[in-house]
Amino acid sequence: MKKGSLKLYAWMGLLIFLIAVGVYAWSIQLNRGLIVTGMREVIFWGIYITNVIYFVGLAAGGLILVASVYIFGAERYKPLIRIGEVLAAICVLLAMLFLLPDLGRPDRILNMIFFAQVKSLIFWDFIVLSSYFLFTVIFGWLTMGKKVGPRGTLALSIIGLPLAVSIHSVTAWVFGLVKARPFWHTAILAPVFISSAIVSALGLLILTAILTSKFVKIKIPLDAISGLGKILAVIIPIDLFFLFCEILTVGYAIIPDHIETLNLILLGPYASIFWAEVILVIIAFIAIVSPKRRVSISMLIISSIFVLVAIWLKRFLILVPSITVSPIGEIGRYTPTWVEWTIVMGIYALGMLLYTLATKFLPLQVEGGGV
Amino acid sequence: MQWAMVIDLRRCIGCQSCFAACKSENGVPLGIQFTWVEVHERGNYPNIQLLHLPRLCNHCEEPACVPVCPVKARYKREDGIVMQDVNRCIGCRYCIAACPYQVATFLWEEPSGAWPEVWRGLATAKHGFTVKCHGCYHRVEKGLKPACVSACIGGARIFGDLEDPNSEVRKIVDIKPTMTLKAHLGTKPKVFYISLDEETAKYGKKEASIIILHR
Repeated sequence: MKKGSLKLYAWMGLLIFLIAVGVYAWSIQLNRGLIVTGMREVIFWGIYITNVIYFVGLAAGGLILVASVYIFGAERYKPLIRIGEVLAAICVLLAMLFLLPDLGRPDRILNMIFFAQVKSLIFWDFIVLSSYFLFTVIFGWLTMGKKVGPRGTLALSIIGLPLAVSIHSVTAWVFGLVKARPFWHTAILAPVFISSAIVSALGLLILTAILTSKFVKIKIPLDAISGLGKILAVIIPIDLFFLFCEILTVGYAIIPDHIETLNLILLGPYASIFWAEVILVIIAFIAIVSPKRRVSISMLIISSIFVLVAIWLKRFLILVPSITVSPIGEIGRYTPTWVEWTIVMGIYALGMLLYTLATKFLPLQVEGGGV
Repeated sequence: MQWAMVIDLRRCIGCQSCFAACKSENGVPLGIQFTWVEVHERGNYPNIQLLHLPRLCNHCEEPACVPVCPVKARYKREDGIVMQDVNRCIGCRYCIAACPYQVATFLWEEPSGAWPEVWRGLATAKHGFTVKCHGCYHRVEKGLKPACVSACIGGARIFGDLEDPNSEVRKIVDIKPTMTLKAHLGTKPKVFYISLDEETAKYGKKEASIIILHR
């Protein structure tokens, strides 16, 4: 896209419009209360929190990849590093933004600082996410501003990698440590979150790299992108394995509390979402498992879009079915309202706008050899 | 003083007076309840029976809801009452996620049918925060019993100080077999039930039961 081209302005105009509509929807919610969402007594967290988890995963996965390049020196992926850094920063920002519309009283959010409860996982999530955002911004500024050499980036990556793992582990523990919800209270939740994070982040990086090289004057070698496809082909089976472990553990033991929720997922109202998730991720795997297909742009696009959708559905299925059966046995129902979708679209549009601006103003093109 | 309640299920007839008295005493708005009586249908036809199960916040000794609140809006008082600071609450609903008994209510909108003295007139916001049974602290502090206890026509609710060896609750808990809800979770509730069946205690309902909640 040339500077000041009509397409660019139309694109940004569309994004700004979506953001504005999202803000309008939020104002309605602030005025009337969260009753304008589809959440109620039994299912009290919905697509806002789904997106929080989703974007924490995208942010964590992104920096795990970038840090691995700097630490393990995988030259093949170097061209993607800057894009990865930018995506990590934008995704963690969006993750924090998605929390705001979920709060009943966002005007009291500073209470989290004044009256911090160090035993609460939400407090720790707030700490690690804010730290991670600061880190990714500083990391990006130092690397893209060429203020550090290879040893500096190595040092930063050694800090960044465990930080990236921590943001998603802590987010997993927000749910995984709650004994009142049997379907959350499993040790495998943190590993599931991380494997899903890597799958989704790979999908985002592949798709963004392809779209960026298509629409912006940045050259990204196909070899780097298809290399990501190779990693994806390894991580998808790991993610599916964890899923199988969860289902087998609950399904074999048939504890009344747990089995009711499992039935909702496998056979009940969430079945179509569950099977869609599994089928999409299997197709994504088949699309890029063979080296021949991995160099096909269309296969890479299909694979990346499918994993992005599948992991979003997976986040939804981690969150909502577990609270569909209330602690006293009521069955809840949840359909997101237009307010929720509009706010969600607005924040997505903000993310895309920030990335578009990044392609204009940041040096995303990695020169041959250097970082 | 340690707030505790015994509920004798042999005496509960499901009149809902406790539910109404609490509403009246605390100005609890429409659609919200601090205490209620569940009606569980048990057994298989023709051997069926109704179980009336009065429920309220258990004011647990190890409350699951207290450590999870990011702003310390939920806290355990000296006298044992688990209290909610409605003006500090940011409405994240983590306490609702963590409570195994579903006793708290989040205000999705400005409630209607509230009396002027709702939340004892202390709430600064109209919606977007969580509320729950506060153990009738305003009555207990004056030496009265909670409204639900005073209203019970069958004497099914017995209230007292668990630390006082002469109180009725202390004597009952020491001598009679009582059960708490979901004891396996380790929250150590301070509401003790007499004549509660094991399955309802563990899961909140029996497999074949239908529950009417009057929400």
